[in-house]
Order: sequence, then structure tokens, then C-alpha cells
Amino acid sequence: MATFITEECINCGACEPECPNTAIYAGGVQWEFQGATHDAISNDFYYIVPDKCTECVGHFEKEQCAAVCPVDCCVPDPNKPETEDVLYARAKQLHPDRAFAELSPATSRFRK
Amino acid sequence: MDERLDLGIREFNGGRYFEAHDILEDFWEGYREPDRVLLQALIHAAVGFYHLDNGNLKGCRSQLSKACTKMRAYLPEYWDLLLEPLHSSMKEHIDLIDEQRHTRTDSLDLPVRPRIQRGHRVAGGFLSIS
Repeated sequence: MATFITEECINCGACEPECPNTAIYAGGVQWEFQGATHDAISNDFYYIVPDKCTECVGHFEKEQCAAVCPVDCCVPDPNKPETEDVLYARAKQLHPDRAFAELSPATSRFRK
Repeated sequence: MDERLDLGIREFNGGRYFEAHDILEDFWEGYREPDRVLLQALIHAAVGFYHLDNGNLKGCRSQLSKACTKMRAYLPEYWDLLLEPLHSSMKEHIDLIDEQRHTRTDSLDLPVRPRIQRGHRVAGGFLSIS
């Protein structure tokens, strides 16, 4: 599942700098991917671009946005279930110049 | 206790919920003791009432519910905070929001917003000092 931000968000912005994929944007801000810009997914509060979210697979042991969110509003999207393989492949696609080590409990929440 | 707790509670009791959340969040981020859960409960409470002020009932209900859950282990008081009245008021708000879920937000009949009271234990009870 991609992570998404619920309407409980208070726009504190704590999550945005924590995302290793720059998948988080403030409400109303256009998002970018591979040189193209797209309309904001939310105009009211911070949002996560599903195509750029890897649930921190390949980077951290758990979703960093959820770890720092003071109001627990960064949650798995039940409408977008995704496997670890899909998320890991996305991480590699997003960071083509980076050499990823084999996944471990430190780099995938699926390995706990 | 850190002065940010004092400041955050002052903002909360003044109805400045966004500011209260902001100050308490700053404290919570760097506070790593197990009872940081209570700080987060206070943040949930502040955000819940902020959402209520802005007509976001769903967000309010969810935040107050999280606050109640996380606060439960610290009832009836912790540090110098009298938590039971705050907890009771949040539960009352949740129940009333549920009962009036079909009512326009600006027509909701809700109780006065709670204050976070402070005090200390004395023989035979708890003395509220604020």
C-alpha cells in the first residue's frame, strides 16, 4: 500500500523533509516526476504521490512520514495494496544512480 | 518539566489550538521518555479542537478519539496535570458529534471547550491550582 495523509493533517510539514523519495508536497503545490509537473492531489493539506511512495522500502525500517507525524495521519492506503517487490522496484526506479543493498529489517518494514 | 509544556497548555486553555499543538509538538519531537505518549495525547487533543473550530468534524472526532486512547494510561492525573476532566470532556464531545452527525457544523450543540487543569495531590484529594 502506498502511504497517504488523511484529512486529520494539520499542515505542520514535519513529514515533508523526511521522505527519501520527495513524494510529499504541501497542499496546492504541484508535484514533479521525471521532469514533468502535475496538478496537486490535495489543495487543503499535505499529500503523498502514490507513484513516488515506496513506504520507505529500500531506505528505512518503517515509513518515516508516519514516524514523525504528531497526529498519526500518515497511514497505509487500503485502496492501494502493493507488495514489497513492487515498492522495491519503484525505489530503484526513483533512484537509478543509487546502489541498493539487499533488503533487510533495516530497509523494509516487510522484514520485521 | 519543560517550559514548552507550560506554554502549550497556556495556548490550549486560551483556545489557540494550532499554537498549542505547535509548541507541544516541538517538545514531543525531542522528548524520548516512554511518557511522551501523553504529550502526543495532548497534541491530539489540541488538533482535535482545532479541527472542530474549522468545521472538520471527522478529523476532530478521530483526533479526540486518539487522544482519549493514549491518555487512558495516565488517568486520573500525571505530572501535575488533572487529566480526568479533559478526558471526560473529550469523550462527551465525541458522543455528541456522533449523535449530531447529521447536523450542520455551525448548528452543533457542544459543551464548553475543556481546559487543562493543573494542581498537586493533597491529603484527601487533588488540589487544582489553575
